[in-house]
Amino acid sequence: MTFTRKILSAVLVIGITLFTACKKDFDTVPVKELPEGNIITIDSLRKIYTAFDTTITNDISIYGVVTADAVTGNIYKELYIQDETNAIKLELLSSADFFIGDRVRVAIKGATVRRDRDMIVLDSINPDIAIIRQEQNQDLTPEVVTIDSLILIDIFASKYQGKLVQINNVEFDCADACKTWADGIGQRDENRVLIDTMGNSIVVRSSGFSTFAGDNLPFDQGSIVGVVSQYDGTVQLTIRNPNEFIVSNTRKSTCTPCPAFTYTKDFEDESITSGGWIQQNIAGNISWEASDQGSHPSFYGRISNYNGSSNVACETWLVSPAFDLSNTTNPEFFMESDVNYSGADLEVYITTNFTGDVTTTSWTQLSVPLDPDNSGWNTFYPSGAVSLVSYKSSGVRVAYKYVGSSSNGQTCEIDDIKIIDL
Amino acid sequence: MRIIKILSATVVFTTLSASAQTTPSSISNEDSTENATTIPAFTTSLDLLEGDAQAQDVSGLLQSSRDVFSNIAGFNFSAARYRVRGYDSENFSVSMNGVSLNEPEGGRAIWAFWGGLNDITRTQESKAGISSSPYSFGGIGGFSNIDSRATAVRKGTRISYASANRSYRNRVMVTHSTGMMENGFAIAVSASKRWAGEGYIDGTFYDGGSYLLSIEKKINDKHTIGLVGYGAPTARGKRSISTQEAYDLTGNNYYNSYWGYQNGKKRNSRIRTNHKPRIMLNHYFKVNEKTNINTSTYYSFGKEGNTRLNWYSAADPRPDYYRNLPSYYNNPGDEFLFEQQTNLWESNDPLATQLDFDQMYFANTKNLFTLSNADGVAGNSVTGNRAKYIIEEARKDVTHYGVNMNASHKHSEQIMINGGLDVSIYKSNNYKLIDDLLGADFWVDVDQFAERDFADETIAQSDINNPNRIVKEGDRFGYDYDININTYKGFGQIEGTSKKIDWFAALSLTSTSFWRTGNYQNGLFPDNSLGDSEKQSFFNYGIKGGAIYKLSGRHLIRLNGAHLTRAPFSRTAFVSPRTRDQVVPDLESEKLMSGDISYLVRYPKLKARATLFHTTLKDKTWSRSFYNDELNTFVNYMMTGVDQVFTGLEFGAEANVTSTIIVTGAFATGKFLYDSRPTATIIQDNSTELLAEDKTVYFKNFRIGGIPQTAASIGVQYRSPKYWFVGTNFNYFADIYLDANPDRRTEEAISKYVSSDPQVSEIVDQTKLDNDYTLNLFAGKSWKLKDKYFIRLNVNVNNVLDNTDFQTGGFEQLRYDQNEIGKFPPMIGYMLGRTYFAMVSLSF
Repeated sequence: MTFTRKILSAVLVIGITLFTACKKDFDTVPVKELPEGNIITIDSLRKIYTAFDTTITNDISIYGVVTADAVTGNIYKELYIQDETNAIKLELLSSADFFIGDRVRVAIKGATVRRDRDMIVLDSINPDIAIIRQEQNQDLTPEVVTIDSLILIDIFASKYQGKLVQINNVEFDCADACKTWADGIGQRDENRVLIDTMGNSIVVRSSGFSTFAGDNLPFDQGSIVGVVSQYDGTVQLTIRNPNEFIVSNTRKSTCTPCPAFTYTKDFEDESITSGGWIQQNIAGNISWEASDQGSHPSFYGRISNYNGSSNVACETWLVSPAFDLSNTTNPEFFMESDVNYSGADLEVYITTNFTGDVTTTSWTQLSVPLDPDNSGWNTFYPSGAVSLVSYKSSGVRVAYKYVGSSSNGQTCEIDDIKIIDL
Repeated sequence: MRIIKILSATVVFTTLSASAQTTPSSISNEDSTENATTIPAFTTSLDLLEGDAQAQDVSGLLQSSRDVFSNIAGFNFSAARYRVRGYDSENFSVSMNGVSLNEPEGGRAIWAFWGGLNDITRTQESKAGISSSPYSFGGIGGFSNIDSRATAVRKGTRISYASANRSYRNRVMVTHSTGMMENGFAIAVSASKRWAGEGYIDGTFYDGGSYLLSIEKKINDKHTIGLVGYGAPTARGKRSISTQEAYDLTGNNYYNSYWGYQNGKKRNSRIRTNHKPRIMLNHYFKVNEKTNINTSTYYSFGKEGNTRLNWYSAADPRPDYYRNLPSYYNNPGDEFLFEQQTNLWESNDPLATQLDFDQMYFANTKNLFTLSNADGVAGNSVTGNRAKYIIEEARKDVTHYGVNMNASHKHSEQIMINGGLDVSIYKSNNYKLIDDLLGADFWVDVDQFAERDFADETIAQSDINNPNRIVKEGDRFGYDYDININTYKGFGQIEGTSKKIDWFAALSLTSTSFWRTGNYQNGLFPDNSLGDSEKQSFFNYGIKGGAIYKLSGRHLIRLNGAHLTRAPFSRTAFVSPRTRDQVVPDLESEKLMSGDISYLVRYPKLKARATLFHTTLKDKTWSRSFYNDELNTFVNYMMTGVDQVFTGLEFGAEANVTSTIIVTGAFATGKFLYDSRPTATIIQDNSTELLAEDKTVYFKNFRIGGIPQTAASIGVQYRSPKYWFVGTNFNYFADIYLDANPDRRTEEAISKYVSSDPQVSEIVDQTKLDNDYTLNLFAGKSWKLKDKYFIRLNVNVNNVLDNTDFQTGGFEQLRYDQNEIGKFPPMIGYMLGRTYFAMVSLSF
C-alpha cells in the first residue's frame, strides 16, 4: 500500500507541477499605444488656436468629462467636454450616444480647432471612431459664477467658454417671463434674457427642437445650470435640462402674472399636424393643408373639396392635441377664419375623452362664431372668446369637422387657434 | 432446477456486482445526460444550421465503463456539461454490434436516436481514452459498443416505471428476452414511453417512444444470423438560452423564451422531432476455434425536424430579442420606455416575456395581399391573407446504409489479430417546410432579405425555376439540398500479452468523399446552387499503440499514443449550404496527436487510476452562422487553421473502507486551449460579397468554453447486506469559461482603441464563470419475491441543495458592438435546481 501511495502521489505531484508550471497566457491582440506625450489638456488644445483655424495632424488625444449632451435636443451633433484645465465644444460629424458624466478620450487627429463666431470649437470629430468612453457617471459639479464675470470678454472670448456653470439668484426678464424656452411649434431657437439682482443680464438660448422648447420658463427666481457658449460678442448660456433651474424665491422684479394656460397654433411652421394635431378622413380623400395664398399676412390652415374641376364628397376631421385644463380658472378658445363658396359649414367640436378614432369619440359641438360671409374672401374673422369653463379637465381636444358633397363645398381657412386662461 | 440456478446466479450478480445493475448511477445516467442536453452548448442566435444536434450528443458516453474515473465522472459531472479530457464528442466512437452510430455530418453520436432503450444500451463495452478495440479504430476519447444481439439481452422480463421532474416526468419500459431457445431462435423486445406535459423548464414538453426488436437464429455451430430493428420517435419542446438580463427580470434562471399562449394554452414554437429507425442484419461466422467474422449490413432512414418562427415584413416577435428587452431603452432620454418595459418584464406579464400567438394569428388574418404572377404564371393573381408569421420546420431526412465487417483471429495464446472493413453511404435531404401558417392563407417563397436589397425580383427567389411560389402547410420552401457522404474504412489491429507486458498496435485507412446536391436554383447564386457540387475527397490514416507494464498484478503502468488525420466534417465545410455549394477556403484534414500515461492500482478493496494526457488537434475547421439584423441576413463565420491543445490529468479511486462502506473520489483538471491564430472568413447568406477574409484571430491560449476544465467529486456509499444502499456525492467544478467569439480577438475589433482604453479588455478578455458545487443523493433497495420476482427501487436526487445559480456555461454572441460590448451580452445556461429520478422495476 505504501508503494502504491508513493507512486500515486508522485504521479499527482508531477501532474500538478506540470500545470502550475506551464502557465498559459492569453493571446494578445495588437493594439495601438498612446504615449504620455500624446495626451494634451483641453487648455493646451484651446491654445492651439492663435489667429487661424488649425487642423491637428498628430496622434493626439484629450480626455474630459461630457458636460452637455444631446438627450434633451438642446444641442445636436455637439458635445461639451471639460477637464481640470478648461472646456471645449465638440462639433461632431454625426450624432452619438455619449452622455453627461461620461469621461471620454477624444482622438483629435484630423479635427480642427476653429474659431466660430468667436467661440472656440473642435470641429469635424467622427464620434464613431474618435470618441472613446472611459468611465460613466463622472458628472462634474458646475462652477458657481456671476453674470458679470461670465459676460466679460477677454480679447474675443469669455474665459468661461464651453464650461459648465451655475448662476444663483437669477430670474427671466419680464418681457420673457411668460414665454416658453423656445418656439416649440415653429421649431425655432429663441433667446431669453436672464437677469440677476444687480441688473446684469445674459442670454439663454434654446433650441426649437429641444424637448422642452414648448415648456414655460420658470417665473420665479432661482439658480440655473448650463454650458457657456458665445455668438460674436454675445455670451450665452445653453441649458442641459430645464429641471436644472431650481426655484428658490419669488421673483424680485415685478411683472404681470402669466396666463395659467396658453396654447397657440398659428401654422407658421407650414405644418397641419405639428404639435400633435391629427387628421382623419372618414370619407373621401380631402385634407387640410398649410397655405399663405392671398392677402393674409401669414400661413394658415386651409381645406377645400374642389379638385380643380369638381367637388369631391368628403368628411375630414382635424383633431387638436390633448390639453390639460384642469388647473385653469377661466379657459377661453379663440380662432380666426375666412370662408368662401357654398356648402356645409365647418363645425367645431370638443371632447375630454378621445378614443383615437373620431367616429367612436363622443363629441360636443362647440359654438364658435366663424366667418359669416361665404360670398368671397375677406379679412380673417376673429371668433372672440369662447368659454371652455365646462372643460376644466385633462385630455381636452377640439376638432374641426369639414364636410363636402359632390355638388358643393366650402373652402375654409383657419388661423391663430388659441386657448388662453387669464 | 436450471431456472433456479440461473436466478440465484442473478442474485449473486446483483449483490456482488452492484455496479452492473443496481448502481444508482447506471439508472440516473441517461437521465442526467438529458439534463445536460437541455442547455445548448453553442448555438447561434437562430441556431438554424445545427438544430440542437450538439445538445443531443452523448456526454455520458462512458456510463457503463468499468474504469473507476469514467464511472464517477460519467455519473456526477455530466450535469455540469463536463467533457472527458475536454474533447468534443466526435472523438468518442459509439457503435452497435460493431456498426458506427456517430452521424457522418458532424461525427457526433446523438443519443436521442436510441433514447429510451436503456435496457438494451446498458449492455455495452466501453473503454476510455486511446485503447484497443475489436470493433473499429475508434476515437481518441474512447469507444462504446452496444451489444443488441438477442442473446446479449438478459433472459427474462423487466418492467419498470420511473417518475422524474427533468425533461420528462414519466417513463415506462418493458423488455423481454427469450434467451437462446431450443429451436435455435433468441428473441428480445424492448419498448418504452417517456412523457411530460411540462418538464422542469416552463413551456417544455416531452413525448418520446422507443422500440427494439432483436432476433437471433443459430443456423449451425458456425453460423448465426441476427436481425435488429429499433427506433425512438421523439418530440419535445425546447428551451431557450438567454442573457442574464432576461433571467434577472423574470427572476427565473430557467426562463424560456420559446413558448407563448395561444387561446390561453402554452405553445412551444421550437419543437424537435426525430425518428431515425435502423435495421441491421448481422451474420456471426465462427470460421474455426480461432477465427470469427462478423458482418453487418444496415439501413437507416428517417428524419429530424426542428420548428421555429419565421416572419415576413413584421416585427421580431421573440420576447428576448435585444430590441424587445428593457436594456435597449436604458439610455438617457428613454427613461419612460425603460421603466415601462422593465415593469412589464418584472411582473412576468406573458405579453412581454413570452411569445404572443394570439397576436400573430390576428396579424395573419388582417394582411390581405394580392400576389401577381403567382407561381411564376404571368397574370396569375392570388389574393389572400399572406402570412406575416409562420412556424417552419427545418428538416433533415436521412438515408444511410452500409456494410461493416469485423474479423478476429487468435493467432496464439499471446497474439490476437483484429481487422475490419466498413462502407457507409449516407445522404441527408435538408429543407424547410411550412409547419403552421398560424391562420394565414399562404406564404410566398422569396428571400425577404434579398428582396429588400435588390430591385431585380429573380434575385430574391429561393428557386428561380419555380418563382413567386405560393406555399402552404406541408410545402417545402426556402432551401432544399442534399449532403452526400461516402466513407470507406479499413483497420487492422494486433494485440499481444505476456507476463509483464500487454501491448497493442493498430492502423486505419479511411477514404471520405462528400458533396452537396442542390435541389433549388437560388436567385442570388444561380451558378453554384443547383445540382452536384465538386466532390471533396480526403484520404486519412491513423496509427495508435499502447502498452501496459505490469509491475505486479496490482500495479500497472499504461502508455498509449495515437496519431491520426480526420477529414473535415461536411457540417463545417460548406460556408452556406442553404444557398450554395461553396466550401471553406483551404479545406483540409484535421491532424490529431494524443498520448497518455497512467498508473493503475487494482486491489480488491482499492482501485485507482491516475493519468496524464496531452493531445493536440491541428487544422480544424470551425463555422457558425448567426443572424445580423443590421445586415438583414445570416452571417457565416468560418475559421480554418484552428488548433487546439488538451493537457491534463485524471485521477479516480474507489475504496472499500469496510465491507459495507465505499468511498469514491475523482479529480480531473486540464488546460483545454486554442493553440493557434486561425484565419477567419466572414460571408453573408444574401450576398456574394465577403465581409472579411484572411482575418487573423488572436486565439492562442484562449480557453475552450462552455465546459468545466476542472471537476472533482467525492462520494461515500453504504451498501447493506440486506439489499439496500444509500450514498451521496459532493461535486465541485471550476475553470468554466464562456465560449469566446473569435471576431472579438482580431485587430479590427479594437482598431480604434489604444491600450489604456477600458474597451480593449472588455472586448478581448475571456470571461471566467464562478466555481460551484452540487450535492447528489441516491438510494435503492431490492426485494426477491417467491424466489422468482425481483423488485428494485432506485431514487436519486441531483442538486439536493437546490442551487439554482450555478452557471454551467454559455457563449459570447457572435454579434457584438465595438462601442458597447454590453449591447449583445453573453448567453448563459444554468444547471437545473433540485431534481429527482425514482424508478421501480420488476424483473422475472
